[in-house]
Amino acid sequence: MMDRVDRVPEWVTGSGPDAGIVISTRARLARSLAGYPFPRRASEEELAAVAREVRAASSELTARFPELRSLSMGRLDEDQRTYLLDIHIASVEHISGGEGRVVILEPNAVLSIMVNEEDHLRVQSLMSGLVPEEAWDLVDWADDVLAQRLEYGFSDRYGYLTSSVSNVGTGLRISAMMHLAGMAAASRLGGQLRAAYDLGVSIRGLFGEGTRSIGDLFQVSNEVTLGLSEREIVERVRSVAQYLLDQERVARRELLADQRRSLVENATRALHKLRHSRAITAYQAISMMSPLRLAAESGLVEDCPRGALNECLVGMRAGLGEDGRSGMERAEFLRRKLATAHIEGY
Amino acid sequence: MYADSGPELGRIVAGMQNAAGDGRPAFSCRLCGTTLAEIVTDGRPGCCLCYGRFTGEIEQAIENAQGRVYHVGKAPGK
Repeated sequence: MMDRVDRVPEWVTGSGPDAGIVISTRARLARSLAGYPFPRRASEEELAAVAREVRAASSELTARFPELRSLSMGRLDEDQRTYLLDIHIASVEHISGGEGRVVILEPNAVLSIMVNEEDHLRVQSLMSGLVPEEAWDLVDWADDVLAQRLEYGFSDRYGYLTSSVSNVGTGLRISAMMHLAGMAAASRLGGQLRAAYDLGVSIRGLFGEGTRSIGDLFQVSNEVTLGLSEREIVERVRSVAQYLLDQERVARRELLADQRRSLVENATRALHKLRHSRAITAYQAISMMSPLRLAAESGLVEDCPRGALNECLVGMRAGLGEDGRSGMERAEFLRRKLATAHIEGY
Repeated sequence: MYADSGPELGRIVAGMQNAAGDGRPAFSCRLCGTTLAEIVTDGRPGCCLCYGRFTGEIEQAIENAQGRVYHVGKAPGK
């Protein structure tokens, strides 16, 4: 296995169903090994032993993913660690850890396992578009394969035992990252968000728990992991995300019909700012990208493919906030990525 | 440490912890060392065994977080 990350993740390509609005779908299973303290209470030796066990068990996954590789945080340079954060495979806490913190990853980042983050294992699938069923099927398969070699912490009453009681039960979190700029522009979001909460589905900002929305990007995910079957969780998230998707389509159609000029003007202003700033913060850049993405998906921007916009999201190093990349480097990066984009009359 | 749990509960927990007399908390998990006082304070188990060792406290924390306590999904090897 190589200690390198060098391919564009599948979700960044923007090729999945409804990827113009649903940037990605993630399924994540939290699992623990029965015989070890949870990572926050484990010694370095225990973390290393867990990593060894999971690595050995994950070799069974190579039948389907022959290029699976194991990356130890202690052996990656800062750029490589930050990249894992940018492509939404690892958390800030995880990339800051040492040798015992590991990511097992297939090169397209469709399947990955965070080892020794909050739980011993976080088995994840990450795919372009709205595909909760496919995302669940993949982590379910990987989970079954791993369970043949690993002794999971499990109780008949509580289900899979996890480091936080808020993940106990199925340990399953399904989330869809959605760009809801049309509904935001039409001020229709508030009521929909409240209705989703009533269905046990939460809607959070770009980087998950405790964050607010930037650039009209929202994560739609199940609130509870216990007392519902995995299929029921998948269906609930699917139905809320599908409803939001349909409403967003309506809002975009109406905007295009009634406010085409303002869509073009907002996108033009945003593109100008993104291309001509000497320095730009991640917050400003993600905010500016929203009207540009909305106009591009409405067919108003030439030579600005969805994949390039997703690459902008990844490459601006937003996960580390303003420490991730200097404002000047970020501006230079965005200038390059958006060099060919063209708006009618711009 | 017990201030958040109220002075009365704190005294009870502290009393139980001194019961062993060897300086080690009597109500602790044998795998990870998490104590009853820690569970009462933050509701966070330190390992899978804690779920059995501190059933009452953890079940309450689960119910607070999830609104229910019974698993209905898949199980390993089934």
